[in-house]
Amino acid sequence: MRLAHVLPVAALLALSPTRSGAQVLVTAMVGVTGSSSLVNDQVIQTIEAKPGLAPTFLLSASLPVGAKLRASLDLGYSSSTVDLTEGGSVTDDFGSLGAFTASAAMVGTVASHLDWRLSIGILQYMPSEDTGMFADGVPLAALFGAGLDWRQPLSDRWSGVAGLRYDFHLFTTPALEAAGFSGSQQVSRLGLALGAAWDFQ
Amino acid sequence: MRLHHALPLVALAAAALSCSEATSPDRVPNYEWRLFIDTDTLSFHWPASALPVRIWVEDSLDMPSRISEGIASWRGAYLYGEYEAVVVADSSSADIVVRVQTPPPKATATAGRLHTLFAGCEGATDIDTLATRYQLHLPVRMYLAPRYDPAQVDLTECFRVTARHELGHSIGLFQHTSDTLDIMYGQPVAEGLSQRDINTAQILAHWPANMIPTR
Repeated sequence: MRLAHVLPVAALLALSPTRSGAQVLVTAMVGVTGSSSLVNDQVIQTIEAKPGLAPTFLLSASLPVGAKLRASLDLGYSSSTVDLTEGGSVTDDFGSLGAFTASAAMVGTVASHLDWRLSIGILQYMPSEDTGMFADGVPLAALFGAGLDWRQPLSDRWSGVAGLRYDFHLFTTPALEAAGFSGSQQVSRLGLALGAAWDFQ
Repeated sequence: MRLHHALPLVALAAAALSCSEATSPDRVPNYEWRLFIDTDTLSFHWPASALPVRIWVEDSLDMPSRISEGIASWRGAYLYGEYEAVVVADSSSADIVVRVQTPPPKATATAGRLHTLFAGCEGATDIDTLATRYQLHLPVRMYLAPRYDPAQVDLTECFRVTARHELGHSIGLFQHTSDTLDIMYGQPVAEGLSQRDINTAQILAHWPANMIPTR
């Protein structure tokens, strides 16, 4: 799916009508994200390039758009090494890799204090070194996500938040395509984060 | 947007994406790169701990630029950072020493010479396996020289091709090929690396090496 297909959907979600006197809920969280492999290759032995556990920062702002629904704009950033595994053992790392995400999400209530969320957005990888498979850059990827947030009220406006995030995207680079890779690698990421939310009433 | 509207959207998108499947290239065609001495079959690539390879280049006929171009060319053949090299100012600690001169007689009896002739210049790389044959004696010595007066003939392209070819020997491509499209053809004319060069460089970088660099 191309970015041009994703952006209108994200814009629709972001521009959903809000109620007058809407409550803006701003949430900031820090956590870690694990990822499946970016590349699986076979040169004599199996080669896998996989991001390590990545410290992650998440920021979101949401507005109510229904009785039990909120529309949310989410930003995220994580950074980790890219570990190379050859024949089952880690041989090297390939510099660091940042991942910036921007998503529009719908947030609903599962139960008291527990929210679900579905999101759609974009992911941009930012490698520290423009060499190898990152030599010619990394294109934007469409991102699809889901998650659960536990909100524990701490005061009238503050609440503590624990979030579980899953997202999915396809990974390829011009250098990999030039090297003969066909198709894209399906990449899943799973994250856990803790933070706080501030309710602007 | 209600949940029952959002869920099919995400499900459809996920289903469309899940149809994609990455397939890695098979690195074919490629060519023989190993060094054969009697009954020994020798393969070498720079271990990760030895990177970046340090290359000292005699500052003559703009050769440092030609070598830097060659380094960039070979670096671009790899996907996972298997090769990196830098031009250094100190020859005493260099892994590879590049001289701009006609190749002299081989320094040691254990050195094998890979010699290259191009239209206007020549190159040679000495691969010294020492007596054990399973060691690559550093520094690797490389020679690049004009065959005509460089003041009369523009040898830039000639040196560019020859430097790229000799650097190919230094990364472990110890054979000449019979295909004129390869940079490792014995009398190279190719302006860049062929797919065969790239495939072979990638394979040799992951082939179990039985030569280790030593001083």
